[in-house]
Amino acid sequence: MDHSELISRILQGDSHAYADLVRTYQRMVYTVCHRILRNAQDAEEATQDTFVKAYQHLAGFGGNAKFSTWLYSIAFRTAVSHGRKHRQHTLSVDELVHHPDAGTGSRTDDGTHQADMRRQLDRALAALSAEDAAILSFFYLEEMSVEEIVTATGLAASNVKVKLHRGRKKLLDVLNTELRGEARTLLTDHA
Amino acid sequence: MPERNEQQPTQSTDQDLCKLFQTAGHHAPGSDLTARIMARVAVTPLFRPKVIRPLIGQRTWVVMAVALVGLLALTLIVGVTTPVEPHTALSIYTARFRGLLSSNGSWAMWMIGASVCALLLTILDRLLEKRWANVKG
Repeated sequence: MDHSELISRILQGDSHAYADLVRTYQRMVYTVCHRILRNAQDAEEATQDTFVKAYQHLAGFGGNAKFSTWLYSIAFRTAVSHGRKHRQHTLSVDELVHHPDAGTGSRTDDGTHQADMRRQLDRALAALSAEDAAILSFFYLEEMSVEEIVTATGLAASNVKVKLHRGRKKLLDVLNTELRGEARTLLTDHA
Repeated sequence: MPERNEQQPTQSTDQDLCKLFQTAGHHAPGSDLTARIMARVAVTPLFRPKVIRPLIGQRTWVVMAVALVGLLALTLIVGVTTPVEPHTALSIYTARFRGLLSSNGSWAMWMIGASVCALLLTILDRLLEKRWANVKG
């Protein structure tokens, strides 16, 4: 998606145009923050910080990468830094299995199939490191290439590939054992 | 290694996981998140990167180059009193330069040249100082 016109309007002083960009990307930014921080309140704070930082430095966006990749790189760094600062309580798989609502926040518990799937996935992703969970989300949810993930995370390409490989293996293990394949069953039943 | 569309054995697993993530979708933030972000944005100034111009501009470089060529030409043209040794271009130049140094009555020319150089250096110094103050300010 080309946002160059929107960005030039914002840079000319039309801050309201920024709301369009916020609306377009807030869900993914929030999801990345949530996967890293595993807490709705912290994720919202990190999401706000991400968009404020992106707005402040919008003039520095050179257009070498996609706007989304640039924004996700800010989100990734902001959430990781937020996590370090606030020493977030990382939920274990056991906690998530026994308390399905833990960590997801009430907003996602709308009782729909999608919310169930998200809860299952969050439980499985809790077994991974925050960084690995975010990288898997970039790869599978946002369908970013390895190169784009490298840009977004600042990690080396080989490191991203290793994290994807390791993360995927661990995620599948958790889905198949700890959660007894619930997520996969749900997927097969409703696909 | 998961490399999109490159490794066949992992492709079906990748597709399954992709489907799983896509079905699970994004986390939903609070409905007022956009408003809260925009409220913060409204009081946030935009950082505009400072355009740092080079201390010596293109025109100044051209003027300096022309002046240098002019000075070199001047040393070749004026004040030649010794005969030219017609071997190489370098020997021609050094012979003329030696001639200029040893020639009687070229002190006036040297004084003028030195004064012009001093004046040019002073002007350049002032220009650089002014430009640097602008960059820092």
